Amino acid sequence: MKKYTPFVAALLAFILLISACAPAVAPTAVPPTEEKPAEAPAEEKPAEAPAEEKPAEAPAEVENPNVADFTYVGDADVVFDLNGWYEAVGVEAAVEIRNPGAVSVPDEMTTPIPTAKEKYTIGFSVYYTVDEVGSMILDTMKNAAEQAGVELLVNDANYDQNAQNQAIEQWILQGVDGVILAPCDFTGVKTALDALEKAGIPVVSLNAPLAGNVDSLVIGETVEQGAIAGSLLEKALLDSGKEMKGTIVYQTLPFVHPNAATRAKGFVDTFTKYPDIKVEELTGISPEEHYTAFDGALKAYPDMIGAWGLYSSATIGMMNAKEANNRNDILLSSVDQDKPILKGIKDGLIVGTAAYSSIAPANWCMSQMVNLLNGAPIPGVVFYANMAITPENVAEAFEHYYPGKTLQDYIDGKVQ
Amino acid sequence: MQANLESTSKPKITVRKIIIQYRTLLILAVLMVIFTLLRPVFLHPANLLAILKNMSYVLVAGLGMTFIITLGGLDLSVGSIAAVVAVGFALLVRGGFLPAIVAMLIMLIVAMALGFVNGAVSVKGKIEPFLVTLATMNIYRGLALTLTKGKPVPIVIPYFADIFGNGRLFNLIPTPVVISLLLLLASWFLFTYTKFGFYVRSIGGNQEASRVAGIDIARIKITAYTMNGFFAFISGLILAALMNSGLPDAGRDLAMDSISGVILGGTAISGGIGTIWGTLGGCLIMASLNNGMSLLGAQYHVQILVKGLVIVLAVLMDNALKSKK
Repeated sequence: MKKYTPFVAALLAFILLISACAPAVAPTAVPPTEEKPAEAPAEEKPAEAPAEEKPAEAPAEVENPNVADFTYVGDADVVFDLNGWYEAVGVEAAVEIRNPGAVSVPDEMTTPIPTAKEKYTIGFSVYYTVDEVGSMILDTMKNAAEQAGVELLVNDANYDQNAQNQAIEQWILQGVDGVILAPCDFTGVKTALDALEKAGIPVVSLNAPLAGNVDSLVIGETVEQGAIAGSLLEKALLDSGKEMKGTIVYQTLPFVHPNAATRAKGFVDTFTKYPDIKVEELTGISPEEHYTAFDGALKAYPDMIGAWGLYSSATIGMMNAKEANNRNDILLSSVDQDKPILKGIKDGLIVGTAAYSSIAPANWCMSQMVNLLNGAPIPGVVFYANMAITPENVAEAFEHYYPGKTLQDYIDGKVQ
Repeated sequence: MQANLESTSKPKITVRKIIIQYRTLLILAVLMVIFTLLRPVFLHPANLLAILKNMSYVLVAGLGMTFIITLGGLDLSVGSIAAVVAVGFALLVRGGFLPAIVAMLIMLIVAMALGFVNGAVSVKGKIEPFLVTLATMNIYRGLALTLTKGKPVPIVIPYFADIFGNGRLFNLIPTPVVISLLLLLASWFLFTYTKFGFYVRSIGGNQEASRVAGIDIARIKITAYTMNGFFAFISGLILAALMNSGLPDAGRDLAMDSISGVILGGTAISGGIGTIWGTLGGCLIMASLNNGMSLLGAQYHVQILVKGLVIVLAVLMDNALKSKK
């Protein structure tokens, strides 16, 4: 019997581990997949005042309780031209948004997350959770689901579009009422979106895909993010008294990512008015790769006056390379609000960053989906807010983006 | 006395032996039971077909990898070759530049040439296949990224997606499943009943003895790597069809997933012992794990932890089998 012990122990440990993965929800019954109304009534214009209570029996008259947070961008009755938005930065897109109107919303919701009229089951597939932004989005989505009174099924796709597509297939099979997804691959997600459309299941996308049809998008104004980062660097350069002449290096991903392309446009446009400034692009993925690239750039461009990290890994790598080379004369700006970046701003290594909440997008995705399922009209696009963080407001910004934590506690090593 | 001899030489059937012998099936059965208990929808026919569909391109790569590993080699570049195929095909058919069939033939030649390079450099340069394919994994991936400048290339040929991706035979069985099962049968025949298959096993088991026996080792090795290019070609087409586009980062985990499937199936990493049906079982285990954990909503860190544990369990059983022998 003794000789079987290792096998039995390993098997038991394995069974316990898998069992521990199971969320505490009742197993969902097998199909049937019902046709769900994918389109919400679009006639209603947003009201200025908070929504009044209406009888629940009349779905056509259900009001969106979040309208007080909406500021319309363009015509409320016209579908946002996402494909044109992408075309402007040279990215090809073929996306149809099923609801008209685009709104910008404040960083913190002033209106409540809507309560589900029925116990909806909603699938949420997130591209990645092994970083600060992804894990915060997931946690916020779980909280939002609890507040809305819906059952949430979760898939962590880890940048694998096939895994995301598989999860969507399973949810269709389980007969979910709606799906919120953050695409792993902006083109490959079309397979999942087509399957959802065929099954009549509404979908809200966090970040805008390049192909496929959606009911609504919750996205950041990424061109604006680049423009904010550009303005922060421009102001710092002017304030430093440097001549607006020389090279500015920015570091991005080695492949085309729509968010990167739109951010880059916003940044580069800021400096087109300076004919003596040349903007150079370098690439990498991990902070280590960006460190190496920037380390080389500091030697390759002796006329470098400034730099920009297009996303957090780039900035973190560049900041460390700058410090290692003792090049405090190079001014660096960023996008994203990872804690090391905020500390870098506090320490004077970064002039500022264009930030956006990881909490707001998740809350807005859930609100859009629940409103849609409740039969309330929703805008086709929700732009969540950006913020410029500088040394002056970095401490408050830290507390805003990481509720319950302070920058000083982070610097002192009291919080992760 | 004779009776005594017979009784002592007769192999004893023990529970331990059965567990070890049928470990792949056992692990698969245990997984299916656990996932079905936790999520009954796991056993739904549509979900089982989804498992097979999502396994298909890994199985195809795993079939080629079975030959390579049985030879005592390794191919880390299979995912990168698949990416070159996916983006190359997408670029060639874009805007009707070439008919799909011509583009496919071109990419078939390219994929097999890339596989040939792996084999030839390893054999002629006397370099470990691990090192050669580690290098070509980066070179081929770089090629895919350079060809597309990092951009995904959409494929807008409906029948291509129907044949290789989301189509269904008899409106039931996903076409990638049909393709992978046909290749499974062909590989099983090639591995078990042909001289080539015998030479592969023989070289992996004892290269020196094979040389003495007059087997052209270099030719067999280069052929196996070239053939692996063919399997990567099919995997690449399936990936492209499933994604409706040629993605330069397609097949990122293909090498590791297919190697895991092959090892889980019982093919010895040291070479000489291989099993095509075992590879099917190993890939099914990986696909069932992916599917089941997706149903449970497990986060990525839990997924890789569980996958790693399963591989360790299988290797432990494999070692136990060898030590018993």
